[in-house]
Amino acid sequence: MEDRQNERSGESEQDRETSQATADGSYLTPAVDIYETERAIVILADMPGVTPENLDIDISEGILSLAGKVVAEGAVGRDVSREYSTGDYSRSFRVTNAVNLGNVTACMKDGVLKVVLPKAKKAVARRIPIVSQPAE
Amino acid sequence: MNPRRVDGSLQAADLGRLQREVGNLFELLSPSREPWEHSLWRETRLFPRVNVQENRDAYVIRCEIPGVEAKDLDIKLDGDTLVLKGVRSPDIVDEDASFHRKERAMGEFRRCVTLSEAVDQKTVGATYRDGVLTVTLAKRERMSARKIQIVSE
Repeated sequence: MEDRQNERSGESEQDRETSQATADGSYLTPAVDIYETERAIVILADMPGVTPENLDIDISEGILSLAGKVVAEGAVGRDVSREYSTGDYSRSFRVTNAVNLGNVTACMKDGVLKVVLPKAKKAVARRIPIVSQPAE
Repeated sequence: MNPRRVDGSLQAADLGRLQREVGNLFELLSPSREPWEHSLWRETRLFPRVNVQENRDAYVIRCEIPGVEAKDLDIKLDGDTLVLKGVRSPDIVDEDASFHRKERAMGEFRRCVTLSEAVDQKTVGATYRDGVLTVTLAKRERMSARKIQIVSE
């Protein structure tokens, strides 16, 4: 599975690389764990501050896109120290046809998204008939 | 980085990429950006990252700790220092599972935040929602201003 960071905005490669998680209007890249079992590929993504209803998962043309909106918590006063900034999350992955895209499931709990991509049944080996050319 | 062309020659795109990477190095040294935006900061895996705000009456401390249970968090107020301890346990996965990526920090963590003003030990409130912990500490009431009578002699 290939990582395609911030792919969803459809920008050119250069724009994408320079817009990551910096200025306003860009996306934060959630940290992910990806593991594979006999039956499925599982993605765990840290998206603190995202509620299940603000989550958007999309699969099209072999690209799985995860997007999470964070509703900004209002400032309560002046900043004493800031170690992180909040913002919307986005990350995309290229999925191969080894995954059954029709049965993807996802759940969100305590800011962690879990996406389960069941593996497709092994493509049945197809017999290719050989037609003998009629002798000329 | 994409692989070079088979013949090893540089293309315009390669030079552009080189320029960006060198640019990133300079950016790392420049003080204009916020520290947590630097890739080095990410590498240190400071966890959890903590934001502190204050107003006249209280301190509000927020930190992102996704995927823990409230029982795995231990918050203590030791004098004017808030001590935040906890453990983030990895999900239980099948024995046959093989990992492709492991970016999420796991394990025990401990962070301390020392506050500059005295806080009320009794009115500490903490909530955990959607992976974000919010601790509110009320500042101890200052001695109310006392009017001093002036006696005219």
